[in-house]
Amino acid sequence: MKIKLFTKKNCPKCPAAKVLCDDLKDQCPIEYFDIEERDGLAEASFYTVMSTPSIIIVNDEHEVMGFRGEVPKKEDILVVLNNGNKGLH
Amino acid sequence: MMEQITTKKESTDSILFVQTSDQRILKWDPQRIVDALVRETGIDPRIAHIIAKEVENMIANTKIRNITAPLIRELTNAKLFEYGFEDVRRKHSRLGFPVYDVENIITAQNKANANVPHGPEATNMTLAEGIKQEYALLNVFSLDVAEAHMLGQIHLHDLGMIDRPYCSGNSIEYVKKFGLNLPNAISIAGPAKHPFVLLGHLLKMSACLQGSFAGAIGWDALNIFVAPYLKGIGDSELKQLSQNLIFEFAQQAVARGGQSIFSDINLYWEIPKHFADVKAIGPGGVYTGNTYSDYIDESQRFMSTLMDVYLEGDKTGRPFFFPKPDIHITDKFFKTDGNEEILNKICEVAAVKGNSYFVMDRGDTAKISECCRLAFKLEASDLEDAKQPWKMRYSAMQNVTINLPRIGYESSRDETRMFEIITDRMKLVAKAHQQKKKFIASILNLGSKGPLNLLAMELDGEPYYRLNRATFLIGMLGLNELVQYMTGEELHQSVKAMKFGLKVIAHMNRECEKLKDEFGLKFVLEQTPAESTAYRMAKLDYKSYALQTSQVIKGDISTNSIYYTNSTLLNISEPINPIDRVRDEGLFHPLIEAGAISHIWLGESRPSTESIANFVVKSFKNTQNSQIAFSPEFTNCLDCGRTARGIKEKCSYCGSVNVDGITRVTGYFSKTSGWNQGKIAELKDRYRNQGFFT
Repeated sequence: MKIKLFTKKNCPKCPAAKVLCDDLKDQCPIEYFDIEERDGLAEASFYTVMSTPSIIIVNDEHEVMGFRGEVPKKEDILVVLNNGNKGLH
Repeated sequence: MMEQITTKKESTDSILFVQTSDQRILKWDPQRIVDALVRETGIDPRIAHIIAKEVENMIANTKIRNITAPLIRELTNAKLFEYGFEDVRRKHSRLGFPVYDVENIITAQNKANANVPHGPEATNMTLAEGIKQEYALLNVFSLDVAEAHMLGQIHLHDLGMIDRPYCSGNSIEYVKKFGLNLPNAISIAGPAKHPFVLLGHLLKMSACLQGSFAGAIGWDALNIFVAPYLKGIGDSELKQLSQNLIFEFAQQAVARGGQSIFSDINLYWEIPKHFADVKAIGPGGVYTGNTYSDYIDESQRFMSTLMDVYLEGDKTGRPFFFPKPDIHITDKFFKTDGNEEILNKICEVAAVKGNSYFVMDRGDTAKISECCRLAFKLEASDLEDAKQPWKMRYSAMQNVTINLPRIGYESSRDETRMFEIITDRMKLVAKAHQQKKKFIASILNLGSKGPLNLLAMELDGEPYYRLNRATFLIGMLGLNELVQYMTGEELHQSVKAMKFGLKVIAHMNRECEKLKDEFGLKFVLEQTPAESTAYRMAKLDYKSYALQTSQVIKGDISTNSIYYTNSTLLNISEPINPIDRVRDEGLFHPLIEAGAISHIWLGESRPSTESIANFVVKSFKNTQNSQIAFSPEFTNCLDCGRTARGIKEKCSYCGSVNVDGITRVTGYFSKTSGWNQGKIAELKDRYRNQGFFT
């Protein structure tokens, strides 16, 4: 399992999403993407991320759960990660 | 009268006739060479005298008694070349065709565009376009741009129509408000008072616009804007009106170059938010006192009747090639009463005849659609214009396509280098756009006395062609082959390949933004239709990069029937589930603002209306795809005239082998006999989704 965080400059909720993901670093690898940069935009396109912040949880690059345009609660992400680790996704 | 002339020569006297290009016989006079050189190139007159003298000597040393002005020009150019005056020679060039080519053009069909039939008008157009192409490459574009085009690194579309912008999106409100008051008209018509007259005006305006634009003529929200004329009209008259509209557009193969107007009508079931409170213009060009929302019944009836006509097809059952109906599927569409019924009707047309283009406007997106996939996305200022809808006139100035596989070959599979070359090529494309804009602006500045006087007319206080609103299209060809060359896999074969493709298009998207700031022009990506470009670029690459090209090229190399996959499409021959295709191809669409589409080739099969409708709803709700179209195939018998489903070698009714196929070449229907070799190869390869639709 891996978390992909999509942000951009001047996005009011993005700093909070970044703090949340930083906090999850020990539980899961995090990849950070700026959707105004080429690689971030390409990755966002792949997961149909149209707003920021977005957090996409993937397993082998396939989306397990996505939070688009919102900052979820840490517990919501942990539930997905825990279920995923148990093979329940 | 032919005049015998004696030229003075230092060594000898000889009698020489000079036949000029304006069909006169003139006395030999070397000063004419000097005058032409100085006038056309600005060369120092002393050098011009020396060149003229040498040309005279060259002629004197022959026994020629009859010489043409074009030959004298060629001899002069040879001298200029010999002495290294390359810039002067370019300016002094003569444009035209060898006799052999003219014979071929007159006798054989031009297959660069399947919408051009074969006839004297068409060959006139081909000859004129040939000269304008040469002129454009010599005089409008800089040498680096022209060379990149000739080498096949980029493709400058519609060079033969260099003196016109590319495509346009228009509003019938202009015709309703101002009537037909056109610069070249020999009579002026006031605003129409009757719906049949209004549609007549629409047709004529379309034909006039075809003369001022290279490509498609689109009309926005046609059913809504015609609606105020339909108050109280009976079903029978409405049907007649709808038939009249479609047949008139479909049978315009008498206009420019014998070419039907590439026409689009945008249709809405609902009244979109940006038109809902707009004051309606009615008969006589006057406000009715109502808004367009008040005419939703008439608007819907008109749209529904148009669909009935499309469903019937022409007298032989063929689908209408034009006007293309672009049906806007929106969130509001699904909330508007009667949406299920009309969706079924639209989908029946798609299943039976294939005409329906489904334009997906999700969220607050609003656009005018036209051509094979071009879309003008309406921005805040455009939505402000919607309050005066006759102002809603949009255009793409030019389309320039980048040959993506070539960039892969040039980069030698070095990813960093590949992105650098894409950046460089996009800058070159931006430069090409700047040059075309400068040229068109210079013509528009001639105003009412210039050739683009239609676009310069100012009936509403500003020019019909709003240069400051023009977009400049940057197209792409063969993403699938670029990815295949760079990664070893085609787009559909792995997540890695798909992500690589997205990175390429994301890079182009970002570069567009940077170029907008640098050049002050609105650059946008578009999926190029590439009807002839997919073939041309593949052939040029196979000549120069045979080893690399043969690893990825599609089609049959042994017969030279080769092509690259259009734009960002997945391999068209792969048996990919169509909903997966629409979803995966749709991943690129938000990055390609000026238009993208997925084609679902149907072949002979005739899916049920319900399965098409389900597919459309799923595509709208579960994908990011911008436009989809379903394309059946037909065989039209040239002996008995009947039309059967599927492309067949013999007529299903009378057994004649004198038949022609009909299906979409890019975005529009055409006869397959007019297709180029690359498109014929693609047609053979198309996966026709057998079994996916019930």
